[in-house]
Amino acid sequence: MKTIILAVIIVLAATSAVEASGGGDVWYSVLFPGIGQIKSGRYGRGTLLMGAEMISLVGLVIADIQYDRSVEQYERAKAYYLNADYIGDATENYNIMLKKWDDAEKLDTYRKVLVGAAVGVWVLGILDMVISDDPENMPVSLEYKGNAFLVTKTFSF
Amino acid sequence: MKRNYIVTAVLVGFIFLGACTKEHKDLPAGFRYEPPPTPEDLEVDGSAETATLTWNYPEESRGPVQFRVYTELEFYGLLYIDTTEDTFYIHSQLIGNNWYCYKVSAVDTVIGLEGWRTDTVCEFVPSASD
Repeated sequence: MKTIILAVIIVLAATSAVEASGGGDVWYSVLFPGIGQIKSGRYGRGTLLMGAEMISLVGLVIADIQYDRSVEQYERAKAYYLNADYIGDATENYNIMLKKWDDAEKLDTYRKVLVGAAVGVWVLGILDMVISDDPENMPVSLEYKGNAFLVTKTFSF
Repeated sequence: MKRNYIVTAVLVGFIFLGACTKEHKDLPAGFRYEPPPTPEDLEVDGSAETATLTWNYPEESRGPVQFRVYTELEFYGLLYIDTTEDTFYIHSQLIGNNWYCYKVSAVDTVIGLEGWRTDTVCEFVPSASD
């Protein structure tokens, strides 16, 4: 519940900031980091933000799956440990339980860092669109060279 | 309209992120088991298709305990044979001219916990006709 309330507050704050800035291509960056930048001609920055968000989200999904697996193994070892009637089984499952607990703690930290990174990149993408000036109109130049034409398109990063 | 769709999509995304951060429960405090001591000086004497096992158990540790006797067989591993309250056990009707291996452990009958098993002790059991 706490997480949902926090999510609503973050999203409403971000959308209010976007609304105040006049919207436009910024909405695309609200939807997914980098789209707004690409739409407004900042291809390099857009690709970078999109890539960073993708890496964070894929990492998060992997860490979350691994975390769930560790918690499941921990719960199983705990049940065996609590119901053990031989000291050898109790000791073995206690050690497995401790190891899986450590794994879950480590993976939980990874997940939190990756959630932070995903939200951070998202906010950065919006701020970049709100704060940055519109990129200059990138010209397409056409040059005549003897028996050929040279077409040049300039990209902004 | 576009704004509403985007805000909804982003909210769903954030709730998904929130679902990824569910916590695991607390670790049980400390190792809670105190096993009965292991039987000592296990000896096996093989004679006429019978193996006689004897062991010692410290009198001061002698609470309400029973002893579990196991045999260790090739390909089958450890097999439980019987439980006794004495510090000896006679394993009869064996197949002669074979090696037999045993382990013994003490069980605290109050908490129902079996302690560490002894090391394996093996003995040759001759046939009745030898």
